[in-house]
Amino acid sequence: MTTALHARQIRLVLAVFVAMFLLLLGFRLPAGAAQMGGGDATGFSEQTSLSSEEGEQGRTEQARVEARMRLQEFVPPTELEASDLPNDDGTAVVITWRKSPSSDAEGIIRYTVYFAESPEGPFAKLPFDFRPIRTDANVVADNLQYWRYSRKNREYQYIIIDLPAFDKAAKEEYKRAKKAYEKRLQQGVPAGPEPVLHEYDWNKLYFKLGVVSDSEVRLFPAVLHAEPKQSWFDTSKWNNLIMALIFLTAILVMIEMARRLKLYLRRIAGLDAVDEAIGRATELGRPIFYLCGLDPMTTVSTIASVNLLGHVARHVANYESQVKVPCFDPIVMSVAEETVKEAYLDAGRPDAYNPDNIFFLTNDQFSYVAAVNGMMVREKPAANFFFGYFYAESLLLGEVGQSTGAIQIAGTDANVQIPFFITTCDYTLIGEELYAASAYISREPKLLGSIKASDMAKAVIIIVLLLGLVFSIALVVGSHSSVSAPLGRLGELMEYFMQVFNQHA
Amino acid sequence: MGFLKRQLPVVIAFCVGIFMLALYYIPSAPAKSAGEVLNIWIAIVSAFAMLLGIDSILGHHIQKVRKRSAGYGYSWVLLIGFVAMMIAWIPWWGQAPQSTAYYPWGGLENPTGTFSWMFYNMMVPMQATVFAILAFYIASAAYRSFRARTAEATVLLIAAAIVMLGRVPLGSSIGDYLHLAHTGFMSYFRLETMTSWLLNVPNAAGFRGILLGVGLGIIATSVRIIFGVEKTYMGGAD
Repeated sequence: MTTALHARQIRLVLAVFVAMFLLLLGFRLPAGAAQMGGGDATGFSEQTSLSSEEGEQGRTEQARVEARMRLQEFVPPTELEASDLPNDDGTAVVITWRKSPSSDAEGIIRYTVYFAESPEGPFAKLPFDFRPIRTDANVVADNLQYWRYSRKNREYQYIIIDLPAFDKAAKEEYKRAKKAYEKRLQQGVPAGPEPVLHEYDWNKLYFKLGVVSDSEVRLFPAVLHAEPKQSWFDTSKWNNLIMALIFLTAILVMIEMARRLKLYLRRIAGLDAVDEAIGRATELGRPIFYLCGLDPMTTVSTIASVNLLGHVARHVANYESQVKVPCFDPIVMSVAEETVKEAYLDAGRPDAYNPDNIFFLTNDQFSYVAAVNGMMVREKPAANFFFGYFYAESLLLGEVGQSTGAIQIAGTDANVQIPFFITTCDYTLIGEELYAASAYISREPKLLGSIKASDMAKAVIIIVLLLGLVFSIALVVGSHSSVSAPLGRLGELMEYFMQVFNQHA
Repeated sequence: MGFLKRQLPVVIAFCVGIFMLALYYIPSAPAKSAGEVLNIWIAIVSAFAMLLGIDSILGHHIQKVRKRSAGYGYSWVLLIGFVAMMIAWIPWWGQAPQSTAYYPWGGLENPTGTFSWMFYNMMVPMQATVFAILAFYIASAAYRSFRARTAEATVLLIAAAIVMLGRVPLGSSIGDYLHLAHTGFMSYFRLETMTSWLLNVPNAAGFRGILLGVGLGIIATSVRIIFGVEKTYMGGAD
């Protein structure tokens, strides 16, 4: 019974293999051979009266006719225009049009762009890779979000034509032609004229919008042309500039006020513990490790960390302890060297400064971790300070430091690493506290002023958020007419204002 | 000397800071190319700074070996490793004869070269080993954090348990079972929904709060440096 079953299974498996082999063979057979089997490889047999080639041609012709019909039925978009792309460096034009009523959500018909170097044509495909775009309402070809902020623009669609792409394509074409030309010369066959690099005049490029379906193209008659112009101010950043200027003014005013008034700053436990940690290091006669993070000197968190290092080094010099700064970046090392040296000078202890304590390790993440952890285990530092931007190494450093019994204080603006530091360190400065650290420790009024200005900005943000929350709730309540509460009336009022705003935007 | 050490860096910081700030608002081609030139300068300075780094690390360890300081054996490992990698990098060392492209500077492009062998068979496994330790440290750190000693730690423990269960198939199986076995409140108990809510509402709100603070802190610090209010990076004194 078992043997019979086995035999049946083996036969079944063999049959499957043979079937698969034949199927594969069928796919690999030339078209004529497949036809001999009474049908094509896909199994359709309705065209057996035609030869395969004729069948293919017939199908293609039929598809073409259908595509042409589809394109003819497509209602052309209106208000076709080309214009300079605003707020750019003069390297792009934008083609816009009012949406066609016959937008096709399935993507069978797509928009394309053809170009010419004179208004008369001939219009050709764009020389670079351009995927025709869908015609349905929600798709635009490039990311130009602010286009849609204005409600009236939501009736329009656009394509941005990147002009340097023409030059790039011309260079590639020239390289190809030149290579082929040189090959022909080497082979001794007639090479023809030497290829010349074609230079496009961006001011003399003309475009036509069209629709494409199954390789059939229908170009709309309007010839579109725009000369690209570079902008000297990005008008989409007006709001940003105004906010920045207000904030800048607030910082400068608060710095000035801080010189005259005594400003209150809430207690930051992590920074209060810095002195405690340095004192402990002095008592135990062990070093302090100070890590500036893994980011380069161009990152603001690293600058903040180096600023804090200056204050820590001054305290260390006063306590006659020693601070070791293993660096991940050579530039950070150079700046840290200078900062610590100056801090020792400032503290009146230049003799205590040891240049060997600030050193470069490696700029490979896990090699750096291995080296620092090794030093932690061997030297058993009294305190570890992790200030700056950290990545996955935060937990590796924190856990090893914790196992050696050191006081650990961390401060980072890498929000995904904050939980790891909170778990492994005694104190953690969260986000902005790192930037406030220098001002907090030094208590210099002009530094404190900027912290106060940040607090003011935060207060404004909180008020805006609360207003948004109230209005959102009011809007929801206002939509339910049964609720005749004052909140509902406020919501209705807000809805009206939003409608007015959208109409004018 | 005082001018070179104190005023000049502040003037340079102010000019470059304002210039870079202006570049953000000016999209024109000259501004764009000026920004690119500055980025190239940063790359060049970084490349030369690497020489300083190499000098620092080699000097540090050579001194340790010379003085026979504690743990100088590790310094030998570093120096031997450094020299070995340098020798392996010499162009004709292990050049693959069948290689279609010629790589005159050796490196990782030559898969049969000694440099590649050392990189893939020594460096990469060692890096992976250090990274792998992270898994164990996450477990030990989680154990320490989730001990329900205080009210906050208890909340953390409950939230973590929900999120962990809600992200694995077991969580949705529990939800399916409760839905079939119970009616009323318990039948709507879905851990994956609770997980989504925890991540998308309180967690996202906390993250955004931190990000807003960080953004303002970055601006305030930048203004302090650009306007020469903060000079600690030059040694602190005014």
